[in-house]
Amino acid sequence: MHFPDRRPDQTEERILPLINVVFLLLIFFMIAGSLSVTEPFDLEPPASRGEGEHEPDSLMILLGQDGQLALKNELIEEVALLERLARELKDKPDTRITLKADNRLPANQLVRFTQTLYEAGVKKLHLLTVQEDA
Amino acid sequence: MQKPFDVSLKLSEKTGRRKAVISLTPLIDVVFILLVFFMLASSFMDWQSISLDTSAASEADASASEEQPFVVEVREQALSLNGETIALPELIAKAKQRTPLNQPVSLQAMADTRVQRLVEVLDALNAAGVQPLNLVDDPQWQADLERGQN
Repeated sequence: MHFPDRRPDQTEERILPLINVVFLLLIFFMIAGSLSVTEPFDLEPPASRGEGEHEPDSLMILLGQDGQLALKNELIEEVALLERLARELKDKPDTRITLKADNRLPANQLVRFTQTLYEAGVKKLHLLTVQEDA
Repeated sequence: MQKPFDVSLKLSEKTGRRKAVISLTPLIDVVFILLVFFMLASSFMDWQSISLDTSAASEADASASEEQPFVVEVREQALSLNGETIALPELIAKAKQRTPLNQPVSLQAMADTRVQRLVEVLDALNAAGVQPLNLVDDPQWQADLERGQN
């Protein structure tokens, strides 16, 4: 008569390893992955074998394939962007700016945009890239 | 009058039962949903950054006016140094032998060269230890673009 009493316990015990694995996966994804932010337009950063570490706590400017601009993931016009940038730089002149440009963008446009940024008083500018697959 | 002993006895009887354990199914449901959320929402991109600091660029500009500039024209398919087509390994060799060694190497993106191409060349020179590097625009570019539109 012990047999029917044991059955629910056994199924529970069989589920436990599953729960363990699922919990481990959950914790792995929570810690190892960073939540991706959806950008206002399609953006593919260039690949590089670069050496510089990306610092996440910098001001991010997005530069899209057709020259669209976004500051902190919000679409913005160039004039408004430069205005806001000037205000930020007034408070903190050493603000680190990270430029995330699309890899299909004409390089001339990127170079000219960096020149406008320098004229606006930007001192620390970094171009964001992804690690190239070896 | 009731004895407190009796009350505690009743409580322990109740909690001791197997039924009091939370059932596992809803827990698994929630954990699975969380798991799926984190799997879909997380990204594992390996971010890098290339420094384009002003300090290097402006110093480079100042010294560039004195000597013959070392300008590399970057095109989608080819590279040219001061007007002559050159392969990347030769360019690196030449860049390492330039005099003086602190002379900036200017990369000029010609016409419709993509950012990806410029980054590749920048990478190759950086890896070979060529410093300082400098980005220059093509003065003809906007004119080309406008002509193309008209």
